[in-house]
Amino acid sequence: MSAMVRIENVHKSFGGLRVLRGVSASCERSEVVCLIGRSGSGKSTLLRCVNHLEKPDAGRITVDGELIGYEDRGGRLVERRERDIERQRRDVGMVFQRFNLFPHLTAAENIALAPRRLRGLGKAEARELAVGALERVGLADKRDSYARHLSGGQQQRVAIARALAMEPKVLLFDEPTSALDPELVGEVLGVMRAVAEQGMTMLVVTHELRFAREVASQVLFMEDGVIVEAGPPGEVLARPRHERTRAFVSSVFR
Amino acid sequence: MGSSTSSAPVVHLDSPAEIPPEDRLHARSHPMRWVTGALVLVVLGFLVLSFARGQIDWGVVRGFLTAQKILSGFAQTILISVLAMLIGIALGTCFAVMRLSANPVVSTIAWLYVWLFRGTPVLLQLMMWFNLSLIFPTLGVPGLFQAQTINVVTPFVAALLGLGINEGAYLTEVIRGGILSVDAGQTEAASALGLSRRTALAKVVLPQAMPAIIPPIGNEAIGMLKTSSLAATISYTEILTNAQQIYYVNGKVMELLIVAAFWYLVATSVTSVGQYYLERRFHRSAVRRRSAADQIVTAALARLRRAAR
Repeated sequence: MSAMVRIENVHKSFGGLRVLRGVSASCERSEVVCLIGRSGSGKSTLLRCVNHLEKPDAGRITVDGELIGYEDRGGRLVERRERDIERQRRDVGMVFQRFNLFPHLTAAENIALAPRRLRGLGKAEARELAVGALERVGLADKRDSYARHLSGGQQQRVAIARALAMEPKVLLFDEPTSALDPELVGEVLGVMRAVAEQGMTMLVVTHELRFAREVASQVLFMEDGVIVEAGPPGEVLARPRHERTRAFVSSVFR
Repeated sequence: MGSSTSSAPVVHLDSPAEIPPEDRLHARSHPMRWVTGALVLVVLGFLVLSFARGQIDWGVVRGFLTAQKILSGFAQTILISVLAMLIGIALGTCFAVMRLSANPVVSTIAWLYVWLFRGTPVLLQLMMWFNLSLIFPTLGVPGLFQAQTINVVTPFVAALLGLGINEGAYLTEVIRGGILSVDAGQTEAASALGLSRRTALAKVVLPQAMPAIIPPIGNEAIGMLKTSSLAATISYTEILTNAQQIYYVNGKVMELLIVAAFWYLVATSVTSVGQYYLERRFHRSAVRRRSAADQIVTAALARLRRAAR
């Protein structure tokens, strides 16, 4: 079976700073892969390459076998047309650290916007879909609330529902709990765990090593733009082989 | 902190009235505000008195306030201002989006537009539009239709083009600023969902840019009401032209200028009220400090509504 997400030898620099230096990884269908590492190690940039929010300088990323962001033109990889990139992004949902809910729309409207525009749903259908998505994250009663009336944890759960409503093949999480007050982290991780159990393929950049240990099938430890160590959480987190992984894991678990 | 603070007994009170007087905290008093306020009143009184005692025939002012020529001039002023403003908003939105485009050709065109029309006096631009026939004697699409420029670019059309296109250059910058004031994460979230740039702009970014765009557009609209008087130079007849024509005949200069000033103030005041409601509508989601004038107007409206009931 081919991988759901395949990342091959991806490079990316910002100016002179080499953020990704040849990263390769793959993620099977329904697998949860956690990317861990210090800030600045390149894990968020790698994640943002998967939906082409960042353009890699070299390498290939495929989702369900389709090359993301580029197309083969006589042996040369050339960036795709904007419309194609937009179509590809529908299959790759993303949840941001700072939620990025649309503040002028209610929770239900936040979720309904993209399905209405992109999947041609009518107003009533889209709203029904939105309420259904909110039910999945336990917030159906907040359908008409604006983001400013929701806690950080609730906002992030709406953001997850918004991504789910497009029925993506993969869901990307960019430090989904890092902007939350400590007591709100649990509810978001709980929702993520439930989504994972329903079979969603997930790529998660996180500092929550306990979540990684319990939910991930694979943990990637990144440092200085490369994957230093990869494997099941029982190995990478419990018995790290690499010195730098050991230092990181012990500094987080303390 | 003295030891008395820590040893003071904590008392739970049921109502603020029970707080003993010595424990109450007081707002600061501002005696200087009363002094400066009184000073302003004195100066105002002096001004009003000067105007009242000056050689102004208030009967003439009252008589011409509703003269047919003044009212039709006022209507022309409103007409040209509203139309030029609409053109300005349309052009401003269009060029602001172009200015932010990733396509360097498109963004350079927008930059050039702003550079050209913001960089030259609007009076000069009005004259150029009015004299367009010197460069293009005829206008039209070859083979389809043809017209003499002089017949097409009437004073009204020249004023409309001159004022509207000039306004568009200013509003390009206003709207661009508004778009840039929206957090980049909003565009990213829209992109990540697969929405096109156009949809993201229309449904996500522009609605959030409105609170930053509306107040300056209100300013520009008020400015436009007054700038439109420049169209007098290309023989577009608006209120100031007509006032001048009247005082050339009867010599009542100050009286006619006061009449014109009155109508300008009416128009700008109405615009301000409109701006107030627009701002309130688009601020629903934003929590911000309200200005003193804002509070006074709200309170007055509330009182009116209560009185009406």
